[in-house]
Amino acid sequence: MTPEDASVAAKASTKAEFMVGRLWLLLPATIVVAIFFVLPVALTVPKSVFRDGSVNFDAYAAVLGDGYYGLVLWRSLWLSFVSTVVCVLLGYPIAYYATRLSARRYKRYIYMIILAPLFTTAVTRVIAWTMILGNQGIINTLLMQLGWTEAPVRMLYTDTAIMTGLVYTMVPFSVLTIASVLENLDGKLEEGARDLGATPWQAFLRVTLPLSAPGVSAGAILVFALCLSAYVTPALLGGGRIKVMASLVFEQFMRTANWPLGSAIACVLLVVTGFVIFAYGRVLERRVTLGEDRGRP
Amino acid sequence: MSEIGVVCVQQVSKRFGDVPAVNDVSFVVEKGEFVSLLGPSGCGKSTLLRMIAGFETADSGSILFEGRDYTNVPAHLRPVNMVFQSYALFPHLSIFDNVAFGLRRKKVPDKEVTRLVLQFLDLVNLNDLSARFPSQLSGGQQQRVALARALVNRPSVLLLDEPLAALDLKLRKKMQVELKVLQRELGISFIYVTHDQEEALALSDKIGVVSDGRMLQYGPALEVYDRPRSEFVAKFLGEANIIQCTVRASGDWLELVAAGNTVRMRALAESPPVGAKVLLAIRPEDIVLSATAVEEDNVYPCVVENKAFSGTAPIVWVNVDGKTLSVRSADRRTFDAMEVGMPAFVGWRSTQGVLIPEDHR
Repeated sequence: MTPEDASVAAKASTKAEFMVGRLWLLLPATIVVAIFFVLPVALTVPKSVFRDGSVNFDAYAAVLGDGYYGLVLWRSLWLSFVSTVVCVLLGYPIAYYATRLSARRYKRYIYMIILAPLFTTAVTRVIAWTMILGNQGIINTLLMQLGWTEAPVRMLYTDTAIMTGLVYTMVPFSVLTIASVLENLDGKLEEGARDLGATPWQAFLRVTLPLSAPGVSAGAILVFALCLSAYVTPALLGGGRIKVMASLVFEQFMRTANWPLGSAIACVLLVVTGFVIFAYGRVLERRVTLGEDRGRP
Repeated sequence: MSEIGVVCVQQVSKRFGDVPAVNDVSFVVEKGEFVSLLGPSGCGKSTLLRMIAGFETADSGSILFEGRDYTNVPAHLRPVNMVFQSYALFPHLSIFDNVAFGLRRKKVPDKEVTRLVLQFLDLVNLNDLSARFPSQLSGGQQQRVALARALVNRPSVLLLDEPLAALDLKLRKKMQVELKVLQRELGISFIYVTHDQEEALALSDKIGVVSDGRMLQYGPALEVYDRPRSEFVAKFLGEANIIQCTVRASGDWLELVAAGNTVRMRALAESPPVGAKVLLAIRPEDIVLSATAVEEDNVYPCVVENKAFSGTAPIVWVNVDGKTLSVRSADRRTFDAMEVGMPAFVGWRSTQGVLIPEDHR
């Protein structure tokens, strides 16, 4: 150990002591997280394995053994995935417009318009969609009056209806997370790229997009999680016929009062969601930059 | 080509809403020239630079590069490159990839990209940092990357927007020298925007003084310094004592009257007529100060008002019949001998000082 190393080590250890001495400052935040986030989840796990005073894994056997639950899980993941992709694809241009192209004084109004749907309850918003998509809804009435179709097109109570509703409710979340990253990006970077011969589109692809990737992934994870746990939208726009994981959990708890089974479904959903988000993060880490890696010495 | 220059800005104007940012500006930059656009913040000099770069479009007038009109050509198709005040280095790319960015957009073959990038990183003494990322470099190093990234494209003119403003004084002075050497070596024209008059004087072949969106004066640096045509230029480029005078006699010699004192000046090519109101601008370093008599063409008794030691050129303020003049010529011994309130003499030669018409304030 050279003297410099020693002094660095000494500094590090005093710093560590300093940190440890102040760890109690984290206590309030830790308590809040524990009570509101960890505890409810932690309580679900014992619920799923206790039945009639004994520990058993019957509920898990039921969930994992029955193909029906696998199907519902797959549908939930698929609906959430498609809705998330659409949310990001729609949200990015809106966020870009709000942060980059609009004049400063209009920004506030743009955000207000984006947030407005969140001021009403989910039920109102979704019922509005049933009026748009229903057999006597606006779209079908229009189609029939124009003579394009004889009978109403079935739109309500389909996967598409659920995805439409999910996208509609979740877009604000993707817009806001992406906008918060774009807002902090130096606008000069895009100019720098243009100055170096990049077309506006190339400047966006090579500079702005990779630098806003953290916002996109944060928004995607948030929307995906919200979609997967959404209950009202699939229930109303799926008409109770199309089941998702959240509606199964609701049924087990509120209708059949089979708490162990409900908890088991919830735990499986939690693990699968956790895995999907983890895998997604790993994939993203590997491609932070877009193909600028050739010709490195 | 020399009549058109590398860059030719012709009667360019630009408004932002109701506010005129650039107002009827024209100037020509020749090949290999170092030109500074000097002015206070908000005077329009940066807008002017951004119009040359293509980030803003001129409302009227035209911008030519080597005789070709580029007024409405988008930024990415212009033969110019810019060094931003914030450097605008791409944080997600390595130093190598930052410098290679422009070449790759031009589809230069990989082998050639590598050769050129290393050559230009070597030019700014950064070749061993090519694998690092911008956040791992110091301010001075980032500045050099920004320079290499722009210069590697061999622009016909390099635009620099207050590139040294973020550096501390010592580093700034060092970078000034490096910048000048680099510019001379490469023979590329530079247009350099700054509000620092000392920097502009130290670096430039030509200086353009900008105020309120107008180009007040444009010419060789020394000429603008020695022959300011307006009070603003006299005061902004260097320091100046401005004395209101009336012309009493005009001929081989000019006689001016200011507050009862007579100032004699050698006649100029365009001497103002008798009775004209003029402003006499005289540099603090052109005035001689002494506790005893001064042997100059114009000598006035004065009272020392204040003094400040500022290193190389200490400054003394003296009062001549109610008018305060600043004097920078005092050598150290004279400076130390001056005491506030004591009588002294100031004077200057008849060849010194510049006359500015009163309406050019």
